[in-house]
Amino acid sequence: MENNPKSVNKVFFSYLIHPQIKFETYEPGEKVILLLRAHPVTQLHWIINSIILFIVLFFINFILPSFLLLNQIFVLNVFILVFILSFIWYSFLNWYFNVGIITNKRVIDVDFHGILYKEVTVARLNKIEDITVKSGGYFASLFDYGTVFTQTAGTEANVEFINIPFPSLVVQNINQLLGKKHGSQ
Amino acid sequence: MDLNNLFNSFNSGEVINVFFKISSIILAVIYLLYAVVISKQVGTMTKTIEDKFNVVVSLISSIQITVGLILLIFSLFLV
Repeated sequence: MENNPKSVNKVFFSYLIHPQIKFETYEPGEKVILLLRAHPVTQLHWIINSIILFIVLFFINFILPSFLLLNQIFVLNVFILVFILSFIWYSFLNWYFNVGIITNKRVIDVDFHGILYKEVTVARLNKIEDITVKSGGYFASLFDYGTVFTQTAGTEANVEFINIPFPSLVVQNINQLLGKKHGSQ
Repeated sequence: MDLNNLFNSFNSGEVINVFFKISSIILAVIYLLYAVVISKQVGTMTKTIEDKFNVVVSLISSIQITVGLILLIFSLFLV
């Protein structure tokens, strides 16, 4: 592969080349080439929110009413701490399991909307007609992330990878695979 | 209970204690249910995408349920 930035492009597990994974709809002989997650910069909102919540938890103890008993204050603190940690865990799961997978046969988008709703979109490489990259904004330019849309022919669903790192590299990879596919036909 | 007794119990913080206990039990039960649902869903997620960190993810989900149980115990016996 021409662009094989293995040591550079692992942006906190959001751009994995040849990852050692298996997925549900795996077909025999299929090789995973890329696994993509949203760029970590796009996750900053919940990380900052969590830090703010920890600060609030710290200061809330100074304004707690004096009629509360010590054990009540302790339980209240435990409750708030558990809810903050659950929020972090929920947000992390949302990021970690919303992935895009590119194999030598297909392009797969796995989405868990709000964790509870699962959506897996699959497009075969030979059905892909058009690939569009959309990247805009200060942070997207600075950290090099964007959205890749793959449009397919016929009734097959379109696949989109939202806010993934190095979108142009991803398109290059898909184009290379498409070239191989069409060359082999 | 006459009105004086009610005022006395309120002044001594009894009503607040009961309110705190009931609220914490309800919250703990809701949290426990949430933890179980998330754990189930994590099971679905780890089946959808299998990688080397799935063991850690499943472990944290189990810890979340344990924490939910501990919260319930705290609410029942500590408050």
